[in-house]
Amino acid sequence: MNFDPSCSSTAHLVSRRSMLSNMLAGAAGVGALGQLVHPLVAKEIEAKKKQVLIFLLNGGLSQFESFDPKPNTDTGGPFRSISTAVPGIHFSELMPYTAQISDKLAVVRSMFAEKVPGSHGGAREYVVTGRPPQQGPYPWIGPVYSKLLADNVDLPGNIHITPSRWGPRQDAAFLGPRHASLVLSGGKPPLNVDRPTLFDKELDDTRYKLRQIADLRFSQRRRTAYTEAYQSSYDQAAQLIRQKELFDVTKESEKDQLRYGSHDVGRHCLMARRLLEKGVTCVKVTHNNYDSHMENFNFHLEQLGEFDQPFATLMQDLDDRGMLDSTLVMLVTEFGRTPTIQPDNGRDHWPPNWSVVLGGCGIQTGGVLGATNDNGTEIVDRPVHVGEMFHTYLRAVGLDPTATHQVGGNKVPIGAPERSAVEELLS
Amino acid sequence: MVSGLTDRCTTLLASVFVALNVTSFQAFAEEPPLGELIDHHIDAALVERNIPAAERSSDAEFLRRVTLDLTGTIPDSATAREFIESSDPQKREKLIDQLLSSDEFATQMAVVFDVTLMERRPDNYVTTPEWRNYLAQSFAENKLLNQLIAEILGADGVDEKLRPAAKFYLDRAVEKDVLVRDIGRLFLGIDLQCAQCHDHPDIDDYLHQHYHGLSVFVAGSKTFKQPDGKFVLQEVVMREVEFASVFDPETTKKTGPRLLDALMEIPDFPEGEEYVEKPSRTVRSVPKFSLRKLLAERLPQDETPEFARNMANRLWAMMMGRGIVHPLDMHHSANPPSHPELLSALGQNLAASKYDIKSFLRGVCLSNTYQRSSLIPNKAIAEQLPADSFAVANMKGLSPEQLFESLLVSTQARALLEKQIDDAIAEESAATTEANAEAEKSDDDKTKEERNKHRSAKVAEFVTVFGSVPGQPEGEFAASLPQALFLANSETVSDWVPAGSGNLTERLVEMDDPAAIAEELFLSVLSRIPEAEETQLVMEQLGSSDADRPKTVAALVWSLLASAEFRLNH
Repeated sequence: MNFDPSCSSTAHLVSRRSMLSNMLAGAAGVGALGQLVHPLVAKEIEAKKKQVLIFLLNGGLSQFESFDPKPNTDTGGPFRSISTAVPGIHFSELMPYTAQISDKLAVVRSMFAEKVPGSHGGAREYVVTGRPPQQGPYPWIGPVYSKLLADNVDLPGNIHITPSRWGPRQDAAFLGPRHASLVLSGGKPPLNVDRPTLFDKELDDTRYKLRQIADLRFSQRRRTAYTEAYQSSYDQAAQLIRQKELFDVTKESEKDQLRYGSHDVGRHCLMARRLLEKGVTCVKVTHNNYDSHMENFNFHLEQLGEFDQPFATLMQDLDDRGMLDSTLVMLVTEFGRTPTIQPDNGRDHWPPNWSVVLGGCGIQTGGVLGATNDNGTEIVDRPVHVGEMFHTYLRAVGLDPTATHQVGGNKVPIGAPERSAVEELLS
Repeated sequence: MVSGLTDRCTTLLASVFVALNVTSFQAFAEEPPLGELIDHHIDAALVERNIPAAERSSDAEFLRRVTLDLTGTIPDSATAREFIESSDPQKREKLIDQLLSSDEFATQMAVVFDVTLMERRPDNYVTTPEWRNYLAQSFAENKLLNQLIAEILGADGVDEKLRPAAKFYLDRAVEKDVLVRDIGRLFLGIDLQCAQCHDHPDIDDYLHQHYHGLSVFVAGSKTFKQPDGKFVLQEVVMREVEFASVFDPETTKKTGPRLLDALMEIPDFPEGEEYVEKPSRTVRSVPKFSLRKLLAERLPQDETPEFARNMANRLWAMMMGRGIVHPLDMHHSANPPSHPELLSALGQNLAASKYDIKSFLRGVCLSNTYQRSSLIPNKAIAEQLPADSFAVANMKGLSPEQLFESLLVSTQARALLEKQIDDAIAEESAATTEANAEAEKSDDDKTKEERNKHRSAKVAEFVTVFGSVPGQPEGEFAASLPQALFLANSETVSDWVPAGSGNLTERLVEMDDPAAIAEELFLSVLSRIPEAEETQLVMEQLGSSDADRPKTVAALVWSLLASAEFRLNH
């Protein structure tokens, strides 16, 4: 018998198709004029606006080799633990730089989810939507921030920096394509931002103008929902093209480029800083290759060896700029890895307990919430469900996860209604 | 074999399909033609609701719409000009018949049914080209719709000829819950997912036993890997399943195979004699009585009126941009059809025609309702013309495949595309010269296959940018930033625009008369004659300098390709 007790009645109303009118309404309300970010406006936005930085470690970060080390146990593996900036908190020795900024972090060692799908995609969706993927599709957290924090901002509200090629995803579900992640595959500018050589600057303006004239004629006596959304997509495109140096990380100082390192994740962290400084609401950085079914220790040595320093550098830089007060940082992964070490030194998928790290805006930092037992096989203190974390991510930036999205004629709870925020984490 | 409509429930779903029974099929012979029937129901509702209807579409509007709907592309400029200028009073009817008998109709329906039934899942055991070929062939020979669906539901993947039909099962990995949900949604128009664990909490019609009754048909099926490495379906004997509500886990119930309320009786074999091939590790298990075959025999038939109703609604939505029941898989009493009697009549018509898809579509195309303009009637207000009234033609976004084909037709870039493919192949073979020398003999087939592969890759670019998420139904039109950037700047599109290889821009540049250029431009891209102001605008742009003309023309061509009028089927 196969059932899902958390299947709540609201889920049944969430047919993606019944929400389409809402998508279109959302897509239509985009201002057409002006620079993406005027420097003065940007300052103003910064003063008021909350921002979010998401790190997604793809494949399943091992809690043992990062934030919940168990040295000298049957499950602990070969690495030692090291002390951190906060007395009493220890990380794996693979994270020396992050250890130095542990005072800026809140570590949750007791994450869990039940009935997690075996696939990485499904498990990831659980983490970033706070709901079992079988009930979906629900919008990912990035599009939710874009909708709730950046609905009237011309800048893309939600940018995803990823090392791999990653086609456009409709991760916004019923929030509509306006809030879907703008993807920087390989950390490069979005696809197709360079105009074809055929059109020089002047002719480029001409073709957009002629296009708009055609649309105005066409839409005069037609239903406007489609035509407005269509026009808006070209307005966004034109603005993005004008602002494409936003995506040029070489505009950052050489010194910074050196500090962050020349490997992908270093460049991507610097890009994230650049985008946040320019006022982008939500930036997500993906780092790959944590799925260590074999050679778990070598993999983590290598991956965290890359990740640790730029991550810590970025946290420090945001703090130095005073941005951590208004920027929530989260470091998530789809599940943890098994306590048992396989014969080929691998660790498999492990959803019963893993670690998540938060920092910045709205978070009580410098502590650890929850605990696992001595050899990390089970949670012994304050289990935290992924759905509770979803609420927490929203509360931290002043949003109400118990409010609803207006979807077509339906109201859909923003966070899973059977969950609530983890108050101990909130400042 | 004994079977029957034993306890068909008359209280819940009844209101929707009450008119569908055997006697009404006989009465149907005297019904008016489908087109008139449609108009009768739609117009009566318009009068009742006091909603003004749009005028009849112009010839150009009709030509573009029906060509896109039935053949997946826009007409070329010569066809558009000829149709617009023709004074034949029968021209619309003739056009409909011509399109329905074209090869492109079969191809287009194959794409529609592929996307509907597979929802752009990645290929697993049966490739999309094999599957689409099978579908296209079926539509080309006008295979009856119930036979096609019976083939798909009964497929085991063993018979070479029908193997592609097994894609529906195989590429869902024969996973029971995925199959139950999709069989319900796609063939019956009802989404039973939330009745998996208990009676549906919000929809009174969807019962826990409906879900499990449907699941019995596929619960015994799973994949089997043949010695040749090919995956096929096998089946173990299954008679019933047990289930219990999560709200009352102590009380277990049982059901045999049922199509909603119709419980099927199945033959009982003595123990030990149930199998042709008993289950074992090495042999494909085959029971004497296959529940999948029973499903294939019983679902797509008059006795399951939800089938005809669902198919009629889906075909209607394909043509009209919206289902009479909408969303298409939410047929239930709390989401009533906009025109209940019409939906019954459409289901009856489809069943009475023995599920002849061409005759059904022909009827729809001939209706005034289908032939209405998308222009809001004078003095009417858009908000007062609800989409479900069909007072005005509902606009549809072009599918990725329609967009690809239409861009090629309008820019007249077939030669350029072939050149792009040549270049790509040359580039590849330069990298693998040695391997090629050997294969030179069997050239023709190989080249053709390779060209198809490159062509598919181009289409795939469009699917990535404009298509729905794999595993989800194609949604309504939604414009996005990456789509705008793709049409504006991608090499794929922008390579077709500048003058070259006899494409549209080149042909326009070679013409002298600016008014003629404007006319050919509009006929090629928008399938209509430009209005005076539009001609004027083109002439102004072309205006002064001849030297810049190729670029100016390219900008004009692009501006229309990127217009909402091109992007939408209106």
